[in-house]
Amino acid sequence: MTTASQPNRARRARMARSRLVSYGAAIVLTVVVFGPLYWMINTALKPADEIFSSPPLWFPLSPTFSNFIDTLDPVFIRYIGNSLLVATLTTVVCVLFALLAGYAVSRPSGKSGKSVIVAVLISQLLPPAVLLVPLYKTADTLGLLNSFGGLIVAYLTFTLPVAIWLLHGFITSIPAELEESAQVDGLSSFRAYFKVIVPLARPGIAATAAYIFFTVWQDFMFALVFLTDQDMRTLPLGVLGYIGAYTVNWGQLMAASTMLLIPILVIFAFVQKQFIAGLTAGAVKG
Amino acid sequence: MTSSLALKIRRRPRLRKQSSYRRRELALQILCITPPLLLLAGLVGYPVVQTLYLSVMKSTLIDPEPIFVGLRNFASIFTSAQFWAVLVNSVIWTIGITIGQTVLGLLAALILNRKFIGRTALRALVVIPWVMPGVIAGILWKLLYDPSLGPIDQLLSFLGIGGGVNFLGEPSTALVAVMVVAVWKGFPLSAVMYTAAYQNVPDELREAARLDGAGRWRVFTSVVLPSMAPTIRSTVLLTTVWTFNYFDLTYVMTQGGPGYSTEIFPTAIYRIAFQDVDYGLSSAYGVISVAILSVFTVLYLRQLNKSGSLSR
Repeated sequence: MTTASQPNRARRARMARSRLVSYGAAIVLTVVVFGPLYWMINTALKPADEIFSSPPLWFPLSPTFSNFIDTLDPVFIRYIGNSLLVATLTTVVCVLFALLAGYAVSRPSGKSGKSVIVAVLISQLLPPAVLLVPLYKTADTLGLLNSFGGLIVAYLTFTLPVAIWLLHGFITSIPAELEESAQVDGLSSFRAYFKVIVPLARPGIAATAAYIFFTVWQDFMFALVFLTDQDMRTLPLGVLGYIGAYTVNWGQLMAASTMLLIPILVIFAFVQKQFIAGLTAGAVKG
Repeated sequence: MTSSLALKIRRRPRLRKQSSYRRRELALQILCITPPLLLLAGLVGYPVVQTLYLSVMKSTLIDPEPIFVGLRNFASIFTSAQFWAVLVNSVIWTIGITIGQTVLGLLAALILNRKFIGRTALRALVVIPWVMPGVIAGILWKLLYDPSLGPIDQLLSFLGIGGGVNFLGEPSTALVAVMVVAVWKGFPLSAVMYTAAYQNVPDELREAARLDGAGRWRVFTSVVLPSMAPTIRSTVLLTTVWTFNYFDLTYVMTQGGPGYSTEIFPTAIYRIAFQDVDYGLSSAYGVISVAILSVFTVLYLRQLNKSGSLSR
């Protein structure tokens, strides 16, 4: 560092190189993440003859929405309705139970907290495939197969532990003094929890609800086993119907997939910040 | 209770009032924890016990009344070539995907912490593969891998690496081909975690190391990485368990085939229970997979305990 201009030029060169690396790396990452998704939309917009051209076309020559329009028949709309119903109901029931549990587990005075949380964590890590057979047999004896009620209860097996655990992270992060001062003001601890703490935890509750919604929206395995009636199918199961015995209707399949993604992305756009905060602070606290 | 009353309570008869208060509070807590715990006991506890019970029973489609067979289900598992294939596949599957997701996740986190226009958008959108249903990801990649309709084959022959390989149809490539999809679908979560952890590394720490003459790589390995270690450990353990349990991709893409080349524990449990209708054998597979997972569960709990997440 002898003169002023030399290090300046060197620094500028270094910054230019660093910027080049940044953009290069960002482009690579973008291609890795979105390349496959591009192909999904590309295929969804192709007319049938272009889909089956070999070698494949990297963009539609005469793009058309006919795949989307054909996909949106009453059956598909029914699948959407089924999925929305099941995912919403499971989310509501699950969050309510988790909030109840949160009162006992996550409050500063709760003594059972730690052991309950450990039990919850263990059940969260059990393989759902293992629970599948006994739950199926039980639902079968109770006549709960092919009913949304049975499926929703089954979904609680893997959503409730996660919900309790995520909410635990959010609720314990709210200072205990807030609740204590509410109690000094004459609220019982129960009411203090629901009137003071729960409203404060609203962003966390939203993130937890979103997580539960995704999990159920995505589920395939339980729906596959619990729902055999065509009319009851949820979206992931219904989409498989486009894979016929002889041919695969790729255009409609990809159009359906694109539409399946949209609600998730909309919800995610709203809760993204809390969602990531919750995952990093609650589930995977460093 | 009004606030003036509350103030009076805080004066003299505090001890007695408080103990009745505490008792009521405890009763309420028990009341609140009971429904969720009962649900969990019924939905998780009972199936686990039932699986243990079924694993020592034998029933068939023709003869559905289960009879006690002791450990014969396990004996037939340990002597079957299929089980060892499933075990080896599961180990390769779990370790390979976990390593892939961790390395890609770290790389992506480093990229997402550099400065470039559009960084905020990319940080938000990078999670798309992770939030997309596994069935959809599986179907989409089936198309991508298709030797005549998909772009991968075309890209490979364009690069001169060869083409005409049906990756999902060959026993030698099918498992790795599905693993690639699992890494693609799963690494965004690791990336998000590591991006957050990276931002939590105090700038002063990095600055101090740089002033001490450490180069970029040195700063990364001896300052940044150690600070991120707890997050990395937890994420790796969670990824391991989730990957081991992951069913959708394999089911949609290969159904465990060709042969048993992509069969892993969850697909084996499903197939034996619902296609072969052999609940006993399927449950025995279930018991073994829980036994394997319990090792990781213990490790995860220890990690959480160490990082203070379990105590308040």
